[in-house]
Amino acid sequence: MLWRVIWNPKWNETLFVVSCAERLLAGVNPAHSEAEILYRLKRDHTLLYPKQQGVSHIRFRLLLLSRQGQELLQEVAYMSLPKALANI
Amino acid sequence: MSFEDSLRATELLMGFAFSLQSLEHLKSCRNVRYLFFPRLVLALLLLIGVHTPWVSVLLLVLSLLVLHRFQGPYNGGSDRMSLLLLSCLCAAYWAPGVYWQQLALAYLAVQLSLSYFVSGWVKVLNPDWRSGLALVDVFRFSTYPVSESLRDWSTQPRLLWGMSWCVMGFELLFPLALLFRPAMILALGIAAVFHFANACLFGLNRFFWIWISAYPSVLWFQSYLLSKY
Repeated sequence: MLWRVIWNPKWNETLFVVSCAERLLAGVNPAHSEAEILYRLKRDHTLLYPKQQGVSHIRFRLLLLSRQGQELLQEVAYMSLPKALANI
Repeated sequence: MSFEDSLRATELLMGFAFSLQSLEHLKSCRNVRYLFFPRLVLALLLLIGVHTPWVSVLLLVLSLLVLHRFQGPYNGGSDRMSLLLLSCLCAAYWAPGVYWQQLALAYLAVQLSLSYFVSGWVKVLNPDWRSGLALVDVFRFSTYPVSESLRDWSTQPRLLWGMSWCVMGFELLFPLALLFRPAMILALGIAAVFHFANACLFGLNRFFWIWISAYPSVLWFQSYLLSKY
């Protein structure tokens, strides 16, 4: 835990991806935000499943949680179009 | 603390913070190396203290390019604070005359004080912060690995209500610490512990390093104020 006060690249990148999601929903340069998210999804997918065959496209969705009183609501706020891995 | 000592302390802390940020980018993302390798070199020059006026200008230009590359801040408030620090440092070096140079550092000190006060003001206007619900949600939904082990804190609403008011009270009262030296030392110590806790519990490490980089300016500013009035 203490080492992460000095070195925490993965989490800082996660925070950037959250910023991209917020910008995407706000309509601020959405193409850039979508490209940044897809680039990281492709990179992490390749790292996690280096030998996986047959995956040609990826897509992502943004799920928002909101509170209404004591009840939590889920809403799919955005669904990207399938994108060919070769084009990311 | 003298003006020169404050500038040097700011350079050292910023140099360290920028070096860490640059190394993190170089490790995690290959397609931004053209920006962060030069930034690392400049941050090290800032640490060593070589040609610091020019180095700070180059770092500021590079920060604008990074801003363009990511189409906004990479890490929100910490990047905005980095830009503010660099702008004030550049002005403190290049402004014509001591008056304007001191004004640049004083501006940074006032902005630092306001960063706490405005943050407290926004929270106190929010009913979820006043009831403690905002912090309950933070502990309940944060996906940071350390936070997951602290999930049970969300079942302690009284404790989190108390913590919420401690945070809001501290932030709102921070500018008053400018009136007394021991109060400022204590306030900066508490603020540093607050940022350190956020770094440990929520992974906001960049905020810790960049916010404490601005502390020398407020120490100098208070010395200046107390000597004048």
